[in-house]
Amino acid sequence: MIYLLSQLIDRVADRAPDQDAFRGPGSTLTYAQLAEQSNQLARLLIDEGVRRGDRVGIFMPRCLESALAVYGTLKAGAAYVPIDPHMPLGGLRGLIEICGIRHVIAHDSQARIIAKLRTGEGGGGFDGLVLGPRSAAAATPGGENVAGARGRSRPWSDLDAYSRSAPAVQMMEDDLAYIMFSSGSTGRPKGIVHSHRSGLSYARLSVETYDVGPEDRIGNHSPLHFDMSTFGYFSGPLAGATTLLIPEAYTKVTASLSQLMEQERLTIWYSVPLALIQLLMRGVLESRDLGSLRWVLFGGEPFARQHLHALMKLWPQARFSNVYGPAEVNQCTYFHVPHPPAEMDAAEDDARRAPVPIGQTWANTEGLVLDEHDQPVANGEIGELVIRSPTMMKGYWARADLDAKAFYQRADESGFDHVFYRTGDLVRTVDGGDMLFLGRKDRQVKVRGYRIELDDLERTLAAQPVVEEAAVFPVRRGGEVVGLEAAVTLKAGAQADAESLRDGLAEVVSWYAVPSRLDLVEQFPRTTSGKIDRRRLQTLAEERTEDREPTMRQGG
Amino acid sequence: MMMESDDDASIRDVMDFVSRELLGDRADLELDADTDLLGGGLVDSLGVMRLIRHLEETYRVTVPPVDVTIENFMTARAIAGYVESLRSLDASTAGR
Repeated sequence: MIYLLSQLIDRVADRAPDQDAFRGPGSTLTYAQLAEQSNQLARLLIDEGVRRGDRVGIFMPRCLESALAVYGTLKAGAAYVPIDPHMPLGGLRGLIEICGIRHVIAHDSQARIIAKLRTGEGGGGFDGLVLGPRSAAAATPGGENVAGARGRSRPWSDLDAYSRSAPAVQMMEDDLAYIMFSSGSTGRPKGIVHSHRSGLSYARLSVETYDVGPEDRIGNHSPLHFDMSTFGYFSGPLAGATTLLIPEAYTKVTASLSQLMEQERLTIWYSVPLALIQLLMRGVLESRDLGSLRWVLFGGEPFARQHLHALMKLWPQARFSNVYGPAEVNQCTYFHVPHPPAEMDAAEDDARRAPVPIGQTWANTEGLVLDEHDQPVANGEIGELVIRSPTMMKGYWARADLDAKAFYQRADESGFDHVFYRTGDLVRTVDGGDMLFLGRKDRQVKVRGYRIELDDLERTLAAQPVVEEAAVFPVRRGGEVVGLEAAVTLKAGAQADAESLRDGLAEVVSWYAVPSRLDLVEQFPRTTSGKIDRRRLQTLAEERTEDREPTMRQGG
Repeated sequence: MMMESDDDASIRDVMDFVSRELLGDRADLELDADTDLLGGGLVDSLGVMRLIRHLEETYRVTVPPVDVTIENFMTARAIAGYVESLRSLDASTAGR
């Protein structure tokens, strides 16, 4: 009986040991290799003191070893905490402290920041174990050549000393499996805690919905700390399929990316719309044969119709599906986009404006649309979507305050409580039962698919001693959020330049949450009620950027 | 004293542009001609496009999308070499 995510690879390893589990450009890890090496890694971690329920940090770019790290951690009974490989030192220290991480699995490319993490610079140095350096020489603190470094490291080659058989660890489906940190802000990071049960429920439903099988070759475009990665890392192995972990460099140079897609004969693609738009614009798709694609899944943010339709014309054999669901529930609705009918050309303008529906809840899931008094709205009215599903998280890591706001309990007729997750997303149900996403209840925005809580970001910025007040606002172009900008006022008599304030923020928040521009202002425009008029700031910024960079839009 | 070659000058120009325009002169980043610009998270996809615009304006070349590859854009040295190949191609066509 499969009830743990870690069992997924062992099952395939028994039936089809030589099947590729994960691939990179020019490298591969079969299911047998993955099963054996993750057993060795689990044994090493246990040997180093990892116990059931512990949290192990994975601080790696997309690479084959990241798959090993995920499954080795799970087999040791621990939950993995994926850390953005570009997270600044301040954010990294914060995550390690909040999650009580004592073991980090890293990559050679992270050696410099790991060395900084080891020293006490700006706080206590991390004295736990780092697994990662390739060579034994670099594995001792002395080898990292940093004065005052603490803790110890072990190289990957140490795995060879451990048995390839699975360690005996007593576990249940309710055990923690992974914690995803969703907000770019580190003021009070929000860790979304998933169990083996919720992760496995997602894998089962997605394999069912998209009919994934052993013949499939999945293109995983998402970094491990992005919740969309669970499709490639878990749904792929559940189906016995092969997942291509696309290295970061390929995501930036689209001609190489489309070439890799063709070479690997991908059958399923899953990414944020931006990646597909870039492929469309600069991916020289006309000279690539991507006839192997049968599913193109996109999610994380809305996909503009004109781009979507252009891609559908290019890949007529593929089906396109809009995937919707906050990381708290993995996924909860889908909308298979019908191929644009011929008459759509006539009504093209209307069709272009209409958002792509988020569709209907998938199997084993209930969605309600509620008004502000938690009463279901009349059909067709706008309300907040709340979701009940086995794919739902356990809660937020050490944030009971957030749990209280996020979960909504409702008794059924028999008096049993049902627990729903409040998505914070405003939706409306249209004819045929499909839902449309209309916006947020709060000030959360998505930039390139990354969730950013603007209120958190403003608090983090205002925490700098010279800052009096701060406003962070999204800048939209063509209806899509293309970036963030900020404006701050300084305390009376305080001196600072915009650049240093922006740098200060970049030390503690992830790169995607750092505003592209920060202005020092004498005073803010105000609304009649005296609040900072962020809408006005946003309008001014949008007018300015349209004047300055009219060509940016081309890139999506 | 050795004269700085065109190649060295364009490597330096690419590094200057990347550190000034794309990285906001962050002092903690030590950039050299062989730093991996793409894999290490230094430059994102929009940054690559800004860099292309800069190359097109500065060196009066056209970068076709098919050339936007890992081989041509991985490092400042690779980019400078690629731009040089575009320019010599232009020069040979113009000479005909």
